[in-house]
Amino acid sequence: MNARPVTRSRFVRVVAGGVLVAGAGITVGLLIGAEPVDVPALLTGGGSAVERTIFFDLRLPRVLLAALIGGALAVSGAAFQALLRNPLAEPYLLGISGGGSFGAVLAIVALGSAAAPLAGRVPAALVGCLAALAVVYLVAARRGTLHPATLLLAGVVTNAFFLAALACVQYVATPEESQAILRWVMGGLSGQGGPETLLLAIVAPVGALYLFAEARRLDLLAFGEETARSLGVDVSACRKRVFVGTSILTAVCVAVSGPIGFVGLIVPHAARMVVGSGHRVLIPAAFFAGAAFLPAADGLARVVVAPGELPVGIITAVVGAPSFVALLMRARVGEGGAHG
Amino acid sequence: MGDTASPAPALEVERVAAGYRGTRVLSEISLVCAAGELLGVLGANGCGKSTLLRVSAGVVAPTSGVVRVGGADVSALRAREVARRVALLPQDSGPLYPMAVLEAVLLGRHPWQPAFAFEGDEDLRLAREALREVDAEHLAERDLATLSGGERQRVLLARALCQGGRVLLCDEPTSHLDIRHQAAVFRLLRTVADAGRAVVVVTHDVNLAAQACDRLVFLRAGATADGVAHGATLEAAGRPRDVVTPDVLRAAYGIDVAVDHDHDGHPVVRRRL
Ligand SMILES: Nc1ncnc2c1ncn2[C@@H]1O[C@H](COP(=O)(O)OP(=O)(O)OP(=O)(O)O)[C@@H](O)[C@H]1O
Ligand SMILES: [Mg+2]
Repeated sequence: MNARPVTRSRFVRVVAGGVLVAGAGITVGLLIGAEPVDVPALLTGGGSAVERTIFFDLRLPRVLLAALIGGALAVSGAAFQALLRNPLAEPYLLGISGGGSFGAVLAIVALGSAAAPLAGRVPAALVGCLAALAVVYLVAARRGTLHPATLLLAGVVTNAFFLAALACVQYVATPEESQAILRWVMGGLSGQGGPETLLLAIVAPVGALYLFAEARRLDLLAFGEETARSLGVDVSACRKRVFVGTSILTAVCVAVSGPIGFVGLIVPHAARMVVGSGHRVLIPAAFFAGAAFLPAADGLARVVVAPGELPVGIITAVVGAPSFVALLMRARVGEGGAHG
Repeated sequence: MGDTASPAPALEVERVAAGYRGTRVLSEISLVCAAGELLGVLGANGCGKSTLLRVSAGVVAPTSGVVRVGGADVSALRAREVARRVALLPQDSGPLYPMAVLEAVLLGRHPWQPAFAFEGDEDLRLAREALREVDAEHLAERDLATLSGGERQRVLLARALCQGGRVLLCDEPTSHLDIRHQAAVFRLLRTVADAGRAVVVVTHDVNLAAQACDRLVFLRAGATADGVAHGATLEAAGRPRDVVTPDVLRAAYGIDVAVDHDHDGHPVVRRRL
């Protein structure tokens, strides 16, 4: 292992590399699609009107949306993992996305999916996320500590609870509503663009910067509460700020795309393997890696069953579930250690 | 510290009571550690030594009483300001993820770095110097999780050293060390104290503490009487040769021991199985 202190020049290199990686992922997302489009011609002002519509009005906003959501989910995951001192923490696995989904689905049913797209869904998802967080905390927090196994168990319980609640809503909904709920709960970006992209273009970078501001404190929190306090971190205030930040980021993502699982788990771990565990480089690296991963995954979702389309949540789950098992097995090995 | 001859002691614990969630661990503990002094804290397992250090570092708030650092009430200072004055080496801690030794030591610079700071040359220099002081320079690139218990302890001591501040609190810094490094750490703490810091060290090694420390305090574990929990109290405090006596050790640990003295007059405790 090499010591990699976070100097200014290293930070700049990580950000530059991240921008390149994100650019590559976005390019992949722009190039693939069910309808072949001559991208170079379009960019130089050519192409047919249909092609222009497909590319500029549909594909481009959706790919950018995927990048922003991917980045937002990845930084949330990275922050959650440090906050809960648990490498398996992730909004989706903890049931927080499930709570947000339930809130958003209630809004869809109550307000009609067409009538109140975002203005209703975002606050409803936020309330759902916070409710789920409260449940997870009540189940998992014993004597102020969150044991990894208990936390996962709490996530399972919370997820089950909100899934049951969702099933209830779906059961009483009309067939059309029910179909809309089902597609949405799988986590997908189908038909999203315009206003959603604008919303995320504000929320994702602001949220990522907000969490970046906590980066050094997250390094210390990952070392343990006593260490963090004795090195000058106001632990409870920091925890609250990070909880609020990650919840809002998760809620907005869930309200837009439904729950997209595992991005918050595998992207931060992949980023950690490349840049190390210092959060001042990990958070930007996770953001850009997420912004590369999700557009590429969404591109895949658009072509694997063309002319149909898979929800991108299925792609991320197919990639994510095995990675999760691998992580779980590593975590089990580490549990016997001094600082599992 | 010399020219700013401040009348307030570096660390002052005044009638402090503390505990966790309703339990009472410490009652009415008072002690002082002056700049340049090495103070040893001894007592039975679970009597509250670590708690005393946590309270002194502002990590746990006392339920009554005050802790002052250089005359300033710790509870009135922000966490960061406390961290600039007091460094704590906890008994047990470790990172969640693999972390290189040098990065772990650099965490000690946190209280001094402005928001959004990156590690500068000065931080790196101080961290390497601290590693050199604990004889762990060669470990700088290693993953903290792969070190032996003693290597790890020296590295965490280096972090506390590069944190600076007038008060250094060490919780069992020698518990995993071989006899050479035990002596080396106590010599180092002596040097740190002689350079003007107030150093408090919790240890179970009575003999080593008696040789190295200026003063010792013994805690006597609290007890529950008539359903009321009483926290630990001070059993004895003073120069080693005055307080390391069979009576004090019986009260503190509940065992009978013999106490001799070595050539320099330091008390030496002898046990039998
Ligand atoms: N975080 C905590 N929550 C609840 N109780 C605690 C906590 N930490 C310590 N205690 C309890 O407080 C008492 C004093 O603990 P402390 O760690 O201060 O003892 P100690 O003197 O340092 O012991 P040792 O020599 O074993 O390190 C013990 O009974 C312990 O069980
Ligand atoms: Mg202790």
